[in-house]
Amino acid sequence: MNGMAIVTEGLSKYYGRHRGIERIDLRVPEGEIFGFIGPNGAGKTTTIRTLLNLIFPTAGRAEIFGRDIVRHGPEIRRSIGYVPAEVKYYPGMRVKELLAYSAALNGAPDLSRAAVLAERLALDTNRRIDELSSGNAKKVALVQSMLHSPRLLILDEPTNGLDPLIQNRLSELLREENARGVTVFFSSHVLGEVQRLCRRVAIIKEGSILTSEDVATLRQKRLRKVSFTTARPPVPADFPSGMARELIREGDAVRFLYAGASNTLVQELSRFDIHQLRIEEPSLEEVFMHYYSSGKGGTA
Amino acid sequence: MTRALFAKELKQYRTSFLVWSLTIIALIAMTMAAMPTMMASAGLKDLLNAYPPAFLRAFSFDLSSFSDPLGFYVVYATLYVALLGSVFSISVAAGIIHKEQSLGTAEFLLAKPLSRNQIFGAKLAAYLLLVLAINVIAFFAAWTSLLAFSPGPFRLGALVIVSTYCLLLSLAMGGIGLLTSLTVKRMRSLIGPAIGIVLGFYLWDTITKIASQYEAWGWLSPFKWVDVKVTVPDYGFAWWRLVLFTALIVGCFLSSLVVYRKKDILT
Repeated sequence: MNGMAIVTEGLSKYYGRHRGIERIDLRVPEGEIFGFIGPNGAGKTTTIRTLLNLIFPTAGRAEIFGRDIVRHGPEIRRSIGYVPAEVKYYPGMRVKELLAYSAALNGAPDLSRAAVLAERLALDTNRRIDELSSGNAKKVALVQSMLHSPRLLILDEPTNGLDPLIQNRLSELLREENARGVTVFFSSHVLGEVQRLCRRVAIIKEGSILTSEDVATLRQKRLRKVSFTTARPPVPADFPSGMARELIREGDAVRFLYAGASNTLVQELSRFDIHQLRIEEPSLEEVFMHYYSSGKGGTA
Repeated sequence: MTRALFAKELKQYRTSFLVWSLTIIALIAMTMAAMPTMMASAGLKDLLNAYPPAFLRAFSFDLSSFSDPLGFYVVYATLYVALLGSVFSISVAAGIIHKEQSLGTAEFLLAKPLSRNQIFGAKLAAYLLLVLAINVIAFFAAWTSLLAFSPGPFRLGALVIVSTYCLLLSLAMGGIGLLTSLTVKRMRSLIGPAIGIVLGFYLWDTITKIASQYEAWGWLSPFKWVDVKVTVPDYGFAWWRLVLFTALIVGCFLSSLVVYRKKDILT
């Protein structure tokens, strides 16, 4: 498992009879920006909390930098910077006090990096924690996650509450960190930012991983978004079973998602009197929705 | 790393510590200032004589305390130290872990490179220091009050012993509070249940003293384990009382650690 930042094998967490996550298998190589997408309640935060040993797995195992998360939790967390989805800090503290406390707990009391990061993210460190908006609280979380120069950043919905300008600065910052060799585990339900930042992505649905692969592969190799206009728009039954997924008809226009060989698609389309035809890559959002509507193994 | 956590814990409770300390000092000083007058009052002795013996026993009223300054302190002022010290202790102990969860900061803390043993140890050390400090303050308040207002000599050694029992009682309450905070789900407020537990044990002890046929049941309350008979000549530490307290305190703290080490942090 050398060269892997995160490896999970059958990682599961149940709360009594309630499912948290089920048989999560992930492999995140070192030095990668890895996207972890799924809607709220899919199991993203449960997976992250299990990796950080905030909660204990019911079954399966996980390693971070080759070390078991349960047995070597403190050593592993020395190499991790973490931004939670919901940021909560100690009321009454000022931002700089929180950062100093965080640095001390990390065993890296040098705050010079904190000043640089705070400036990049336009964070006023003299403000009191209680007075911060959710966006500014998120900036505090981002600064404290990076100030000890971790090897792995685990970011749970890191852009929530941030304005677009700061989101862009964060993207730059993460790319710079990644260029220095930092692995980024980027959990989000905002597909656009995952598409912009990440090379690989895992999609989680109802506690299970639906797929885990390159963003480019996900978009290009498997699915085509097909749209055309014709005098007599077809219905799903006009195509071989399962060929035209999520078919939508609007007047004389029809569009659907297709996964399969291009020749087969051309042959099938030749049966229609097509006026205009477009075959394009779907957005990650469309891919994501496709996985969500079709379930595990939805694409060929 | 744990030093930062330890310092933060102390800082977090400094206002509460000051308020509780000043309250205990003020109550001890006020009560002991009345000692010379009350000890000289024949009317008060007659009034107490009129009460049933079980009632006097329930509230540790010992008529001989009117002739012994330390006896007076135990009857009239120790209650403040025992009750207020216990409430302070239990509210701090119950909060050391629970507060991080209710504030939502447990996620921040546990994502740091500290083991749960280290976190528990640093927080427990801060708690022990605070409880020890408040009991030492109460001891010095009692000692200086006795020096200032006592009409006659008193045994300093007996004051040390009864103060030590008060310290053990507050630690026992803290242990119970910590274990309760870690095992009872959906406990939103701490101070209400904390006062409830302390008063519950105190009233249990009092009621079983009044209803003498149930007196043996009183041993279920740690308040009963405190030996307040300072006026008896051979007053000293009873080893079995120390064993009871030690077993309860160590048992509660160790059980709390075991629970905490395996606890899922769901904020």
